[in-house]
Amino acid sequence: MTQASLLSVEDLRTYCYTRAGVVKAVDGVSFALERGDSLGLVGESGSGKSMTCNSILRLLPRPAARTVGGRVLWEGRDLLTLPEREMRRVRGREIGMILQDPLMSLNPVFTIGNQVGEPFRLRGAAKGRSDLREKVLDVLRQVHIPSPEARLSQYPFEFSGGMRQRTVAAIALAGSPGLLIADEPTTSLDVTIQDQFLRLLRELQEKTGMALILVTHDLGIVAETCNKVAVMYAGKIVEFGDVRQVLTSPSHPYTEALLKALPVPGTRQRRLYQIPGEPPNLLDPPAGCAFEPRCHRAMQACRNARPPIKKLSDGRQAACLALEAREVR
Amino acid sequence: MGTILELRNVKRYFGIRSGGWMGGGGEKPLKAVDGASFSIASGSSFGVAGESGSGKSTMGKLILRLDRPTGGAIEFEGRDIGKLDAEGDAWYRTRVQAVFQDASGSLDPRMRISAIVAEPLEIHARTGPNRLGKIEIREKVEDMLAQVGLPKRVMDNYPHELSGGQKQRVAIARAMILEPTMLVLDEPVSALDVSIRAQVLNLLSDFQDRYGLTYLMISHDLATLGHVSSQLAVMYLGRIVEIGGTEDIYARALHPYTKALFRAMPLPDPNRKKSAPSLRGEIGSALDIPKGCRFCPRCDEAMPVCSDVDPELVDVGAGRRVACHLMSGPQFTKATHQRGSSE
Ligand SMILES: Nc1ncnc2c1ncn2[C@@H]1O[C@H](COP(=O)(O)OP(=O)(O)OP(=O)(O)O)[C@@H](O)[C@H]1O
Ligand SMILES: Nc1ncnc2c1ncn2[C@@H]1O[C@H](COP(=O)(O)OP(=O)(O)O)[C@@H](O)[C@H]1O
Ligand code: SF4
Ligand code: SF4
Ligand SMILES: [Mg+2]
Ligand SMILES: [Mg+2]
Repeated sequence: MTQASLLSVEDLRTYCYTRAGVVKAVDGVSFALERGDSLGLVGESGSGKSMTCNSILRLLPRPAARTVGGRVLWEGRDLLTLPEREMRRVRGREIGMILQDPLMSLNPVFTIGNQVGEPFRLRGAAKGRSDLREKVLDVLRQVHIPSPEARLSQYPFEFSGGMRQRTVAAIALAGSPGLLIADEPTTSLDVTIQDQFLRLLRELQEKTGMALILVTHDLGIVAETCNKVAVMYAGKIVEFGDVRQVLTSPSHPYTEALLKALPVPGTRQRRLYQIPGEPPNLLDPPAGCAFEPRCHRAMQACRNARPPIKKLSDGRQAACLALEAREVR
Repeated sequence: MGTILELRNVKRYFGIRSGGWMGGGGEKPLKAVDGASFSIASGSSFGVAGESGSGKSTMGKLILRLDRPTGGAIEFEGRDIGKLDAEGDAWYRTRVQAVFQDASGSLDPRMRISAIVAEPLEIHARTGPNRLGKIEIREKVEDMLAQVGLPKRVMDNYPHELSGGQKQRVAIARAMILEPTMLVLDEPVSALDVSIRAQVLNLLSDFQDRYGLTYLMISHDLATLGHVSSQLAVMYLGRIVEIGGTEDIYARALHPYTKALFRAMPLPDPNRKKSAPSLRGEIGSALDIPKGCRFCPRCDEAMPVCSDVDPELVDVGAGRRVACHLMSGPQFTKATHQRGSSE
């Protein structure tokens, strides 16, 4: 066996129990990350991206959602079986997190200085007040908050969206995590501020070797920020591989269709390639491949069973019968 | 193609009257739109880009008559829309309709889809000259839902029972039911997933082909605007800083702000290297617009003159107008000359 990965997610299953039935929000997800890796988790709304992250961090909405199977190996330990007390140490210290809405992660009644200082205090990492202040200023500088001294006593509402998100990043980074999970951290930001933020993430990764899971539905962001990509559809990863490989020659019909449906700037085509239909209702998913009703390569066999994800000869993984058939030939 | 809409030095300042929302007079005005002039050709698609807070939506609301300008004039089909009587107002509402980003916010959650789409017709049937009967209205609604690609059965649904893409189709059906000549679309696909976004953009382009509609589309997404619009205006802090043919601007942006927006745009090309630094700082407050060029505090090409003199939007040839001192200096005249001779 090769050396263990930094993070290894194995056959993760998280189900939501709703009045209308059971939703398999995460339905057998597996992937591994190494130090310094940056994984883009992409897919349409409802495909299970956030649920995957929240399962790893064990931050599921209770009692609606429950992880019913799989393992999340983090530095050799299975996070899914860790006592909650130890899990709390992992969260925010070993694994940092940034959520979509920065306002949700910041407490409106505490100052910025107070909130960024919290992880240091919890850890007892500061020797006295002035050392704490220095440490806080240092992380605020790392995330490029201008004149941080003046900002310490301000409240979140006095910050712009971009500054709030950078503050959340500062809090996540205060614990010097080995992995940062960022769930659509730039969706509420302008492209210019998004660009600043993504560059900041790359810069911090380069400096610290931290691994990153970046949830987004923008393939452009993945191309610019990540070295690996996992494409999710209806609770499963349908394609996983190196970013260059997947984005320049997609193999799964869904990945292919997603890329073709993007407007190409500067070329005013009349019609865009259009994926027919909508994502499946997860309360009543198709029996076979979940993409079958929308797939231009669908065959009769696709309706019978969900294709498992398999390694292709070029090293990437994909879950598609048409590809399997091609590989065999 | 004639002009369908023209804006002449349109301004929308907030809080200038005492007792306004900011309370008390004597306060500085918030200049949400600060002198916009352009015209839109009938049957074309006009795109408006810019960061949030640049005044795009405020301008859209002025055009929709959901808000009144504090200066300047807007003419639609030759009529000053600031001077419409009740009958003119009803006329305008049949000509110009809106689609907003958040379909769930603009669709009444207590109404069935059929009623939502029929409502403009019913209001118009009460006030307008061409009254329609119940059966005719129902037929029209069915026809419109079919045109936007929704099955008949959604008529009895409520908005929350539909997906985001379906709700946006309902919003488009409602906007189209009075057969307008122009749609103002404020971030119509920003909340939609890629696969659904392509469907809605195709639907809009089909409608344009079929009915010769004019679109004014507001978006912060340059890729979408590049696909949809033939003319493009880039706004910054209430001003249009660059305007011209979309393809020309994509091929060669002239204003430093437009260039920065393009640099920031993420492209799904893993081989593209971003070498130039990103745009620094943030869009300032419309309450406190910098002296001179309003983009100066963030501009990496700023010159001494920029912090003193507010650059005017000047014609630089080929239908392009740019508000930047770089475009009026001698070096630029030379550059255009060289470009012209090499072509
Ligand atoms: N609290 C909950 N109760 C019931 N079902 C839920 C709950 N949270 C999520 N789900 C369901 O789980 C599935 C996956 O949701 P998830 O939030 O992971 O999607 P996502 O890929 O992050 O989408 P988005 O791009 O919209 O954020 C969806 O079908 C969703 O409806
Ligand atoms: N009703 C209002 N009262 C006061 N200020 C407003 C109002 N509407 C918009 N503004 C301000 O006008 C500026 C432009 O806003 P907006 O038109 O919404 O920009 P955009 O659509 O480009 O994001 C912003 O500074 C905004 O805060
Ligand atoms: S398994 Fe069949 S339906 Fe599914 S993606 Fe592959 S070809 Fe399409
Ligand atoms: S006028 Fe000066 S500051 Fe303004 S955009 Fe042009 S170069 Fe930059
Ligand atoms: Mg999510
Ligand atoms: Mg807006």
